[in-house]
Amino acid sequence: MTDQTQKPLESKLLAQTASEPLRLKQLPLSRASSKFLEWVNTWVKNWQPAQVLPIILMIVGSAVWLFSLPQVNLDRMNDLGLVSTLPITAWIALGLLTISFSLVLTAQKVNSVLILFHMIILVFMLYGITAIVETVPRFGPSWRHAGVIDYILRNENVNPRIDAYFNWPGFFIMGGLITQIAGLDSAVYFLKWSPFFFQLLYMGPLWMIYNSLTRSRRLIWFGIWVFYLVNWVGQDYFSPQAMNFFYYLVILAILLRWFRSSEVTIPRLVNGKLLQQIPKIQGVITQVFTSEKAPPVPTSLTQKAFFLLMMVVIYFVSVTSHQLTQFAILFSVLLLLIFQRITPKALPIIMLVLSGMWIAYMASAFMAGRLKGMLEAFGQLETALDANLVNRMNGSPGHMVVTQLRLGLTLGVWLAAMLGFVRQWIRGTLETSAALLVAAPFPLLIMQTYGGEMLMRIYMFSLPLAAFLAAALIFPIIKEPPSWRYTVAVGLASAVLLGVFWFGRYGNERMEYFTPAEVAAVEFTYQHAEPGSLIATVTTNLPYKYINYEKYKYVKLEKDLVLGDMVSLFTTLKNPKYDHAYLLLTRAQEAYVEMYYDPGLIDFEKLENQLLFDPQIKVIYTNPDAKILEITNFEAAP
Amino acid sequence: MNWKDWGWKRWVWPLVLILSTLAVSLAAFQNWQSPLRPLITLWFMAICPGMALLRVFGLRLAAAGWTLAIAFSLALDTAVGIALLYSGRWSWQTGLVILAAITLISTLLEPFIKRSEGPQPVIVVTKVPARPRKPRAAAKTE
Repeated sequence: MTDQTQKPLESKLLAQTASEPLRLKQLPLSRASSKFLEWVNTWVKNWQPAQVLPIILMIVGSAVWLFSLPQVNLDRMNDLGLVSTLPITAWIALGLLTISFSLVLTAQKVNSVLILFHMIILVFMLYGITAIVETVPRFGPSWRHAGVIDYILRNENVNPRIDAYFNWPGFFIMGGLITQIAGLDSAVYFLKWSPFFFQLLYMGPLWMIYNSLTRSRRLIWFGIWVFYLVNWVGQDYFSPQAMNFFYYLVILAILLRWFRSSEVTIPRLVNGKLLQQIPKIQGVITQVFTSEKAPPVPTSLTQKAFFLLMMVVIYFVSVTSHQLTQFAILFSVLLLLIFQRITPKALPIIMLVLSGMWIAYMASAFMAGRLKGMLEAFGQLETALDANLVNRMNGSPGHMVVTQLRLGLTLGVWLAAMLGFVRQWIRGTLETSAALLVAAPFPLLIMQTYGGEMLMRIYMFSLPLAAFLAAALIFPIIKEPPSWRYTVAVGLASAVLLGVFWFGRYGNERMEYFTPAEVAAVEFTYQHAEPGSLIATVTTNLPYKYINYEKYKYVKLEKDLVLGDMVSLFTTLKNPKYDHAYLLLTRAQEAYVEMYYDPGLIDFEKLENQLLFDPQIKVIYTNPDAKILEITNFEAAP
Repeated sequence: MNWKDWGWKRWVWPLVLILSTLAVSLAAFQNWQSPLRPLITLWFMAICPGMALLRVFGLRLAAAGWTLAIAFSLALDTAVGIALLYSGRWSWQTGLVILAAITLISTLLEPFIKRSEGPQPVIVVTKVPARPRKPRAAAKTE
């Protein structure tokens, strides 16, 4: 039967081939796969040999980087920080990525996808390195933050009398919720990769902010690149400020993108009698108000209402999470409103009410004893500068180099931002919003010293727009596509900033990283010490307080040791209020005193020997990186 | 609701949001002991509630959408946590149910909400003339 049916078909086909060539019918493809093939086809057609080189450099650079990480030996680290342990291959990898980025950024056609890959690899190299080369999470405060979450989960409440964290607990509450839903025992799980995660998060709002300021994609991407190369402040660890910096950026991004002012009213003062006599200044002020004509992205009324609600919710969460960021947001919004860059006039009022209510009601326990001191410190610029600059300029020669490079980088970025602003102005674009947002955080300096960290925080808040203006020193380009000079300029600027970055960002790494032995010693303490015991340390840079936060009394002996006041030190340790006291001496603390104080001023071995003269003090634990001394303060029962 | 506008691309996010909500709820309530559970939880908590709300308001944005979704999701997580803790009813189960409800309800509402475009903005620069002042001499004579 089949033979019979096949034969006429064969003869038909043969007859057809004789008359015309047989054509294969195209198989029907699904719409999605045909579109994909079309895309591949176009991509291959448009592919230029010049585009291949950056891709190869990027891949080789990443491979070399991964190959060099196992060669990082933390034991070799000196007072210059992580930079002293980086092998030559790591520098080669960074160099390859920089060359590749310079080529992609200044290519004939901007390939945003390829640039995005470069950006992610850069963030991985700069901010993910410690998660790979260090065995346990770094930086003492991040362990403490895990401890606050542990407290909240055990007690299901917050006790505002413990410390400031419990007066602004929003971030910790969120951390607790995620920890429990994820089925984890502790938030320590999140510590290691937090810097990489937060830095990646910042890329989105940065892109939105820059995109609302310029149409040049080269400037947008170079601005983000610069931001990552100069962000040395290290406030991206598992902390409320890291989260709140993201909220700060998002609020600015929403305002600049969807709430741009489309109607500008020149203030009466500009047309006043005095300024009419100085037409040049009058012209400049008029230009400040009218120069930026970037329209807001069109949205419906409902969407605008939604964005407003979103900003209020985000600001409320920021108010509950961090005492400083809310004011940085408030000042930025106020300045943008005063200069008519944005429209929502009610927003700062809502913000002020939210901040005021939280401070008055929810943080009253913290504010009660401190309000007077804070008011006295308000406006003391000299004290603030002393705490933020003068008092930080001390320590070992290596540490001094790091401090000076940090200061130089900070001032350099601000100077570059100013020059970038001037260059844009000369070219006819006055970046008023960007300049205002660089200036907005500076009033924070007169508010308080913030433990000598305020200048650093001001730099952090001004950095997003300062990086944008600094990038504008090279871009925008005069001719499109850019000449090779731009490629060289981007490459050189990146190389210099990359070099300084490692000193600035990881200059204190010797005292900020921890070894498994140090964590084991702290774990031993918590297993051994009864709740209510006194835990003494020389400094606070150790991986502790991550568990049973409220159950122990902690004390720092740094001041007594600097002053050489052994009587006060013994009084503290032998306080009869505590049955037992434990003194933790660890590698990181020793590194701290070596970096900050003159050699021999605080000698751990000498201290230990002096203490061990007392029969009530004995060593109960020792490992290569830590020692624990137990002080018994009660008479044993007969 | 106009189903003609609903090509396969528009179904991707609603499907992802519904599946993520189901996955995180199953993982948490069935107490899965898997290294994937923290990742699923992080994905849900950091993206889903915010993305669902953005979409219900017709904000189907590309790159900016991810940023806003993350910011709003994390802010909502915190707000829900604060409400539970300060009201003395702390329970991660209740927190998860609230966040899952926000995500699911918003996703299910999305097809029924009409997407509207806003008006095109116009830049207007208005110069306010200086307030006319009375001449001093005239004031004296008065």
